[in-house]
Amino acid sequence: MPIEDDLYEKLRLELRRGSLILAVLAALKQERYGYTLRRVLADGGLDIDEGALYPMLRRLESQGLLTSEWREEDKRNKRFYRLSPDGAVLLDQLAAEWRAINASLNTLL
Amino acid sequence: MDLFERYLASIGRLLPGDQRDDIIAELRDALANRRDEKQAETGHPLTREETTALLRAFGHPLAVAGRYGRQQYLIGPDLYPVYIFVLKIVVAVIAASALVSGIATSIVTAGVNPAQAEPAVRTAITVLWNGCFSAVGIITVIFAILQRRNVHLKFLDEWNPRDLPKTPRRRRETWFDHVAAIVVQTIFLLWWVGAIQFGQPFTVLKSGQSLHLDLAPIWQTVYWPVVGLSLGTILVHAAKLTGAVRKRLASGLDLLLQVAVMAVGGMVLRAQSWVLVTGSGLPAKSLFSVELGVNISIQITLVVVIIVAVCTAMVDLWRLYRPLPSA
Repeated sequence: MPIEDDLYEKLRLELRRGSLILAVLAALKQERYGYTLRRVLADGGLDIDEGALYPMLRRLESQGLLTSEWREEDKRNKRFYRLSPDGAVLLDQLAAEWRAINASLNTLL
Repeated sequence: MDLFERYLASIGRLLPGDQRDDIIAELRDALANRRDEKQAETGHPLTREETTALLRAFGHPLAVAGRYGRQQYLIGPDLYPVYIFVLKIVVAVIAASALVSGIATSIVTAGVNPAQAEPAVRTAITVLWNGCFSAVGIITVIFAILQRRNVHLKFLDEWNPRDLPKTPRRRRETWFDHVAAIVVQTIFLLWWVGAIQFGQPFTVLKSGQSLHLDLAPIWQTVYWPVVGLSLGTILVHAAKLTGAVRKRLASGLDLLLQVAVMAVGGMVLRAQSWVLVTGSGLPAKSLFSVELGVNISIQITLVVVIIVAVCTAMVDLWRLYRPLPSA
């Protein structure tokens, strides 16, 4: 039976959802604002919708994993995000988990 | 006000007040970056149509604002199975209550005249409709509150497999069941056609007083259908006893019998009365009371018989069409 396109898309999004948080945390080891963060992720092959990215940044900040500040750049006020010390610790833990999952899956796939 | 500001204002109206300005400022910057990117691609300021397309791609204000909400769903995946389980039980109880209310109303308002069934049906539908709406609403609100307060249901973690209900072993029909059914049906059929008699339903109360019970004309009307039904029952049990039919065919025959019971039962139920009471030495009022009481009892019995037949038919139907277990 052929796999329906929408089922594939649904499962693909589910698979990516968890890893996007890891990608965002990793990309914010360096300070960035939303637009440049999205570009970095897109250039790395991880397109993320802005409608999902900005609320995610706010949620991660409220969880203490990111810090942010408003600054002017190119004559515009921008909110810059950066990984917090707690976020850095969590990123290391999540990265280790990711590598373990990846290794396990590689043996199965 | 240009389209960007109208769009941002629409989102802002849906955001919590303490974060609104902050979020809108960030979204304004994100939209401006998008616009710059697009203008760099096209080499000209965005037209109204291009701006519209850009905003459509960014998302409906309801969807964009909704993603900033603390709670993204009314009832989460942890609580949802419990919610559905509770709903099913409550709706089943309400449906049973509706049925009982309908029967009770039928007896109270229609007496022994089932033709006047409208109040009973109306009562049953009212109980079902109002009950289901209220119950679903209240249960949904309760579970939404549990979700919002992040209440964790302990019993989902602290359960013991030993406390689970034992699986009832489905009782299979034995040869004894078939023989008993054939004997009982044969005796009934012989009595029905008049081949044997058990004495007249005649009661002497005391000197000079007696009661006679006679079957109402409806039983003459259903004489042959009852003969057919009784013969059919005997044949089906005989076939099962000899192993002449497979399981699925047996379920099909059972289903046919139940449909016949419903049809004959329905014909009988539509009658005005089922037993006529006469007597001597008793006041007419007493005779009427006895007749009314007997007929109400028969009416309840007939309703129960039909309900049982409907339930049994549904089970037979399920057995008939359920997928066969794979080998």
